Amino acid sequence: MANKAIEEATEEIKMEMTPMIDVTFLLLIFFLCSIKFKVLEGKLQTYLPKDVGVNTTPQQKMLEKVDVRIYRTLTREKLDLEQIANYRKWYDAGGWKEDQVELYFQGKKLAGLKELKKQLEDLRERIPPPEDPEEEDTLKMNLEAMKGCIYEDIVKVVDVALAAKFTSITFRGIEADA
Amino acid sequence: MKTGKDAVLDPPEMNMTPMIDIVFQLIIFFMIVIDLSQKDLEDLVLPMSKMAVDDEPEEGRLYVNINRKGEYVLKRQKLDLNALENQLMLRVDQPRKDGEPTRDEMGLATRPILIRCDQASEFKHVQKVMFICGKEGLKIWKVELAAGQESKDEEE
Repeated sequence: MANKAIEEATEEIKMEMTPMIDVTFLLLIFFLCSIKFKVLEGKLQTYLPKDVGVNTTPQQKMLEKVDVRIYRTLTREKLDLEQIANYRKWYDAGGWKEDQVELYFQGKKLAGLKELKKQLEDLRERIPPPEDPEEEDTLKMNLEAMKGCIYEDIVKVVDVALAAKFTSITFRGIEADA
Repeated sequence: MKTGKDAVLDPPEMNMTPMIDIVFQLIIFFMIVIDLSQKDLEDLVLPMSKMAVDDEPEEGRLYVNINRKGEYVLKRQKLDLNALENQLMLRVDQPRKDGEPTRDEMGLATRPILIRCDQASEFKHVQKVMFICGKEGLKIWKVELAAGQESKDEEE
């Protein structure tokens, strides 16, 4: 009897590992599920005109308007659905390239986005943005996307315009459905 | 070994492990269910933009997705333009959870709309959504265009 008591006292204490592993795995799954990877999605903030009722604000300042037109080089001549589909394959293979678009600034053809940036910056230098951000910008940009233009074309041009501190950008016209 | 009277008087011990197991399982279950219910964002390839700002969604923001085929997708449902307009009409004046009014003093919607368009989709689809937003009854003027954020340091 005494021997048994000594045996029990000296017996190694065993830890029950199974529930600990269970809980550890559950914690692992929990944290894996709850991790939120950094969202790299951003946005370009735009506002549509508030044309409600009669505009009673006197137009005191002269507005300077800049026309920028975008053509897609591949879809400009003949636009049928098959061509658009082929174009998309080509696009998907290589991604967006500057030579896929033709840019016109005040009716004049530009070499590319860099030239557009320079033109816009020069203009912005002449007409600086209003000091009060609430105040209306007198320099406005009309952006006309011609038939076949894709969303990325517009984002690239808007990017350049925003970098040149243009805050008022208008999208012109909706083409009729093909 | 406790026998007889001792064993009867011993307070019963509760095994906590299965309870914790179940609690965690429930938490995981609800987390997954909540994730699945966020159907606003379609899987699209967005164009990269250097000037895109961080997206901090305003309460009650509306979403429209335009996929590569030019289809309008709202809450995983493909819609034509008329159906999209009807859906936006239904949602724009729903009471906001933050208690803010849905219209301002000029009658314009206080809710913004995020247009998420695939990079290779034609821009005319975005313009059509903008056109709808300006219509009487909707008057959504805060339009956000989704784009991927590109580092400004990267020179093309």
